[in-house]
Amino acid sequence: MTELAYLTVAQAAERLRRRDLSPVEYVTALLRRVDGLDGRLHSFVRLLPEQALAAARTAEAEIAKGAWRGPFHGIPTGLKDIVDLAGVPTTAQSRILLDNVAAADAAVTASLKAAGAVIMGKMATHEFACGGHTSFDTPFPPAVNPWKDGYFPGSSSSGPGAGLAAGFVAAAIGTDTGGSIRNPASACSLVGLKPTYGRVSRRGVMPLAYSLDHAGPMTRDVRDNALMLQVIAGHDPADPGSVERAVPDYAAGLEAGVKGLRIGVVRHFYQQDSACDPEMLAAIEAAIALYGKLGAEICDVALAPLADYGNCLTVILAAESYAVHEKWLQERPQDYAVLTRQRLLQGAFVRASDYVQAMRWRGLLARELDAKFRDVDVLLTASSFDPPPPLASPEVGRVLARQSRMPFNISGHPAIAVPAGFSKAGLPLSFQLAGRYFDEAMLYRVARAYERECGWHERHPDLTAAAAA
Amino acid sequence: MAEAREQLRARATAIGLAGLSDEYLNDLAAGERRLVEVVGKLPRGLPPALEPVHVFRPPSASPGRRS
Repeated sequence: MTELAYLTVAQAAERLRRRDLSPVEYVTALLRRVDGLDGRLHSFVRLLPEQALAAARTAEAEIAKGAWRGPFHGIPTGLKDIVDLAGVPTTAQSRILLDNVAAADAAVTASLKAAGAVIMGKMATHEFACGGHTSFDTPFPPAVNPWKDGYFPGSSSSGPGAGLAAGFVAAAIGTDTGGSIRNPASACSLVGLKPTYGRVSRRGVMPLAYSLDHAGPMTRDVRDNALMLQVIAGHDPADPGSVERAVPDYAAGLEAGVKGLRIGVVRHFYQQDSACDPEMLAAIEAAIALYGKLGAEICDVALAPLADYGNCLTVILAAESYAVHEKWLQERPQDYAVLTRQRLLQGAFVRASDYVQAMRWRGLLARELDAKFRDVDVLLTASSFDPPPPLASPEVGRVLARQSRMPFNISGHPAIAVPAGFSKAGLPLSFQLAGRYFDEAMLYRVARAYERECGWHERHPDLTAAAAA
Repeated sequence: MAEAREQLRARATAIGLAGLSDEYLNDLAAGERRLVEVVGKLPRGLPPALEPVHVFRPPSASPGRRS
């Protein structure tokens, strides 16, 4: 069963296309795995076995007729539970939306279904994708990190992170407002991409902060991430942030290597602005050294202090998320988890002028960041500054505050979290790459060059050991 | 103290947060304190011609007005 559980999308697609593997057999194996192991990982809030098997049977019949739709045909895929799947509740892990049955598919869901993906179910999130410290008073228990029992799996796309690392799905959709794809990717040794703002439609995704929200792919390796972005990228006039721009072939240049590329390292984020955990620091520096050895030109790049991005984002997030939740906060404040309510109430008295000032500042920060790409092909910095902490520890709050993901939510540049090994305690380490607007292909190329050398994506958690630890 | 709490309750009521329990009022007060602290770190004196990003789009995707 483990062999099927950890197939990459690309490997599974090849076997499915050749009919060496039946979609029904594949989906059945993963459903059994979820059944046996998710009782303690809580990665799913709603598993959909009948629907998944029906979709697998359809895929099997189509492939048998020679109508293979592409790499996602028959691939078990998960959706964070703020992403709509028609006919199924989108709960956002909240009492407020327990009966919120989606009338239509989200744009990303529709694209995945059209590509033949098998939707396995709705996966855990922090309530309303708010991120932050773990809440234990939501209607569903919080997801747990498969790499170590009782450890934080990252937030807020915690279910996709835990479920992918546990081998329950081959790919999943996460969302990222201040880092919520890249944080669980970093915590669970996965590849998580926040695309360029406007690259992937958010139609049918419960908003947290309109101008910061992104939907994107979470996978176990770089190629799979490129394949998934290929399916979900594109213009959608129903998303006001969506941009009409051609979608390139994201996997075409994956193996081109980094020789001759310029990589700008934003060291001050994780060395001066905040001090990275020593093991994380060593992993990042080892990645930089490897890129140099592979022929990339490395230089240091200075941006605004990390706190500037954090302060700017905090004001925008507080104002926009309060606008989203105002009516429910007025009418049903008791139905929120305590931590969610506390976070959302921060926005109650934000003055209009402060929001406008933050948006003016944001323009400056984004332009300053964008200008750096005149001299470099990608930026490299930390994603998380620490390995994941215990789930219920006060450390979670401290650790979540120490990260350099939000600059790219402020600017809208694409950014990817890349697995970079493990701490002595066996917890995942990572780094982050950011690229020019709409140049996700370059991020994949650079991430793949490291992945190919290091092979961290081939390691998977021993769920028996994790339980015993 | 009690007066400050009643002022906060009145301000909350004015924006539709009527009938908040003491616990929620505490949350509201803590949230406001945190935001005031962060807002205090926003830069002041940005040039008047500098417009905010509206519905945010990457600069290369939107012609936008540049000052």
